[in-house]
Amino acid sequence: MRPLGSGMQARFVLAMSGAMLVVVAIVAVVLGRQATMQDEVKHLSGSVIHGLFDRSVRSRGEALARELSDALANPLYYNDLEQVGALVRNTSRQQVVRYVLVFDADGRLIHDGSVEVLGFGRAMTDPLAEGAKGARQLVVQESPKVLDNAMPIMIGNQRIGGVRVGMALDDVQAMEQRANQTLGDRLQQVGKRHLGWLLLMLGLLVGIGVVVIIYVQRTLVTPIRGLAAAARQIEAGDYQVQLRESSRRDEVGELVRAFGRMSEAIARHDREVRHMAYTDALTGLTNRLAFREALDHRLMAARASGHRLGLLFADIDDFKRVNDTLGHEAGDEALLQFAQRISAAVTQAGGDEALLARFGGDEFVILIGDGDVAATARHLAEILVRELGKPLVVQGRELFLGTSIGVTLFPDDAADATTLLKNGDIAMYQAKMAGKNCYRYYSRAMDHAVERRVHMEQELRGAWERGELRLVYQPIFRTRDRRMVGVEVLLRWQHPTLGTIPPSVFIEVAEQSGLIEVIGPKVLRAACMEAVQWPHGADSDGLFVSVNVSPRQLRGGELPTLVADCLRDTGLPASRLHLELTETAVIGDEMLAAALLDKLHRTGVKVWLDDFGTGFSGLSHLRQVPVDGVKIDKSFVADMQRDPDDLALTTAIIAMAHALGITVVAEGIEQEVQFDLLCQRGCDLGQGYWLSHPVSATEVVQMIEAGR
Amino acid sequence: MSVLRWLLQGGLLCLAIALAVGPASAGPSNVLVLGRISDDPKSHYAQLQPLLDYVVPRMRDVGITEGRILMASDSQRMGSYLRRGRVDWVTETSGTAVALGMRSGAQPLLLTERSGVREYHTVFFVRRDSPVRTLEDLTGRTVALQNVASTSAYLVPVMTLLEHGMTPEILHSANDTAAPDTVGYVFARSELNIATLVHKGLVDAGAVSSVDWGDDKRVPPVFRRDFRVIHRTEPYPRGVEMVRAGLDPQVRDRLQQVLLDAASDPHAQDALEKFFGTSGFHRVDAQMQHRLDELKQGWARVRMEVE
Repeated sequence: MRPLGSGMQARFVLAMSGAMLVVVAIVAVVLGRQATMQDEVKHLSGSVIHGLFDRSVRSRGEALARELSDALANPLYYNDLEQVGALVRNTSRQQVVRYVLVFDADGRLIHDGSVEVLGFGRAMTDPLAEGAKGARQLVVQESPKVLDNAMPIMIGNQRIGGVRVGMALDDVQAMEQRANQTLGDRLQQVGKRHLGWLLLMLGLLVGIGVVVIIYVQRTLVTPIRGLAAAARQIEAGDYQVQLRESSRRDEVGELVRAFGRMSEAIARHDREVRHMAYTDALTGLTNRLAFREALDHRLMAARASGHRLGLLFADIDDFKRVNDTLGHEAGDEALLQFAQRISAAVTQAGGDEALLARFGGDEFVILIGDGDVAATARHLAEILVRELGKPLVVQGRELFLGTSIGVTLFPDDAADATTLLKNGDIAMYQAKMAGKNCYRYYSRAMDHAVERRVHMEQELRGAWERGELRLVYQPIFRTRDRRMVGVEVLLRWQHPTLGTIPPSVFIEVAEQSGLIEVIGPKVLRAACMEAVQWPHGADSDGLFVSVNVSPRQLRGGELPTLVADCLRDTGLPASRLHLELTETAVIGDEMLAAALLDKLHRTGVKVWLDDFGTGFSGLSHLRQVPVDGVKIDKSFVADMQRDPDDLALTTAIIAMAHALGITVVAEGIEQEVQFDLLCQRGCDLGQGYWLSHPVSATEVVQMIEAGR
Repeated sequence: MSVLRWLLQGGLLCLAIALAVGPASAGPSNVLVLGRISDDPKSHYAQLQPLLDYVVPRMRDVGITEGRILMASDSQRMGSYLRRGRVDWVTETSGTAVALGMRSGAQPLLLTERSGVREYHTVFFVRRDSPVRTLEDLTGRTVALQNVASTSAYLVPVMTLLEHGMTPEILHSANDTAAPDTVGYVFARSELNIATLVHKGLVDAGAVSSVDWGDDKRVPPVFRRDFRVIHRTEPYPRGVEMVRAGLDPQVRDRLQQVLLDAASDPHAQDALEKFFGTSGFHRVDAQMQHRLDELKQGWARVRMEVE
């Protein structure tokens, strides 16, 4: 039993003690009352007994005197002293009768019951004699020791003498005392008996109290304390609670069992939560949180032992496209397959201590910790690039996705986990910059490049609003008559401090950061608004305006709506708007692209395939993707004179496009020779510096008016 | 020594009695003393006093101003009182009256009628199944009587037995048997005892007064129907008022007159009723005088032959 505190048991013991005290107090009061009652009973009984004895002795004395006076009349009348003596003696012998005296009418003694009657004939001399001897009726006198009843003896109305019966009051008192004594003794005995019972019951009560306390301690306090201790244990995080199995069928037993079940449930939940917290739900791999913790531990250990660590940061190229085009379920399936491949690769080449984690989205991180870390990392990166570059089959379709991997080393590149991860990210980004589907080691220089890029991204955000971005128009000529029929809209960025930033740089940044989705629609709208103001040229048809659409915009799926809105808002005829899509934008999911292009066609705009010939798709794609025209990439045009293959390819493209009824546009015409070659091969349209540099809107108008 | 002391005490006792009743001894002429033989003076006193209180005021003109009562325990003593003039007037049954007259010379003044009965007789009875048919059949048998003081249940039956030539002989108890030539008698103390003894066959016959014979309390009907009367004696006065010899004739006559008048005086009825149920007084006629004389002779004979 634990020392008493303020617990339930203490309170219970206190309550029991209180109850005991009350009971003891009651018993004490009862005993006190009993003693008082005994005293009162004794007193009352004493007075009753006294009254009883007193009345008894008085009535008896009176009765004796009356009886004697009656009985003595005849013997006395005839002076039958023998008879008188016999009567007197009979009465004298009775208890508490002190004396019986018979006297004559003059108060002289006739008989006192003795044989001798020594005082015969003499006047009685005792103190009460005077009052007694003249009695005409019953005279009762009292001295401390004697109650004297004097009665005349009458014959008719003649008083012939008298009789005195002396009752021994002291004897009566003695009897009374004895009676009182007996009564007191009896009362005391009764009291003792009652006291015995009371003490017995009190003892019983105390016993019951102790038993109840022990019972409560056993059945209530101990289990509850056990539960409290278990609860504290659980609170402290230790779920291995050992609760005594309770077979009790009552509420406490139920509580203990429920508590046991609850602690098990908590432990299970804890495991589940931990699992959820440290595991990626989709792939079952370690998640970012768990990886960070493990990385910290590994770093600490590595610092202590002087080991090196390698970190591979892998990001699937263009994975968003899978989600956007095929849906997230397909994306998840692709991720799972990637995870399996990565896992297999890590198992194969990562060493025993390799740790694979999914960082969320399409990012995977691998930590390598044993052997020649640098070599292992490089080997693993190579395997990963190779393995992950193989096509995936998701929902019955073949997907071609690459992976960019950044590799960084500890302690070479970073001293802490955060930096290490950042470096991995940067290296991965460099891999992306380097054309994706490859791996890159982290280097200090990367830091600067990344920083510049981040800076640029920040500057680009808001550049349109600040008016730093402006549109220029590259005129497109009909080769047949070298007449300008349209313009390709180009974007220029004049930064106040960075100066003119080439489109190849900031378009890439906009594409990578997603800003293109903001800038693209604005460009489209601005171009439409500009073009609608242009005067009609010689053909009476207005110039068409060709706007580049980034793959992101295309994947967004909102392009047809956007186009329709712009046309409606600006009033530009749909026939005057051309959209240029890159080949890679439509590769991968020709069905989707076809559906999209179909929608665009319905708005009335024309769709051209930009940079045609650089992609992997080949000419067969043209059959599946209903475009209105293709733009032969300038690399073909530039090499056309030197490389017969390019010339042949260009010729084939033009021929095939014409066979499909598709317009062919040649880009980057910088020499007359190139223009002539293209003209000879029937290329429909051409653009390039030889024909015209990009011009402002004003110049476009001047050129129209000049009739060129 | 004790004998001497007893003598001394006896002397003192006599002296005390003399002192106690002293004033009556040389009775002053203004005091009328009514006497009575009594074994219970206390209760008899109350029976005598009212009549005395009635009589005395009516005798004032003959010098009587005070009445007193003096009782004696037996007839001898009463006889003595009468002789010595300490008692003037005694009321008694006829047997005792005769005895007092013999002893003291007292004379009958009046006959007393009690409860309407002036005279009565003795009834001898036996059980109905008894072979005793006559008094003579009682020879060798037993008779239950009351006590020696009784007139009708002692004096008269014994007298009658003697007259019939039989010899009454007292027996120690009812279980005793009588001698063949005698009639054994036992004292049964009360009439009910007499009837009971006869009814239960302890004695052969019983004798009670005709008044008691008719009293259901003394002879219960359940007994009486089993009894057969074998003899009834001559009637005798029920009671007799006696006055001492030598009483002033004036006083005597006045007393006689007052008592005779009392029966018709409403004021006296209460006193008379208390006076042993007296219903009237009558002068002694010749017949009753004869009866009294017979009793006197019989009494003498009983004293002589039986006691």
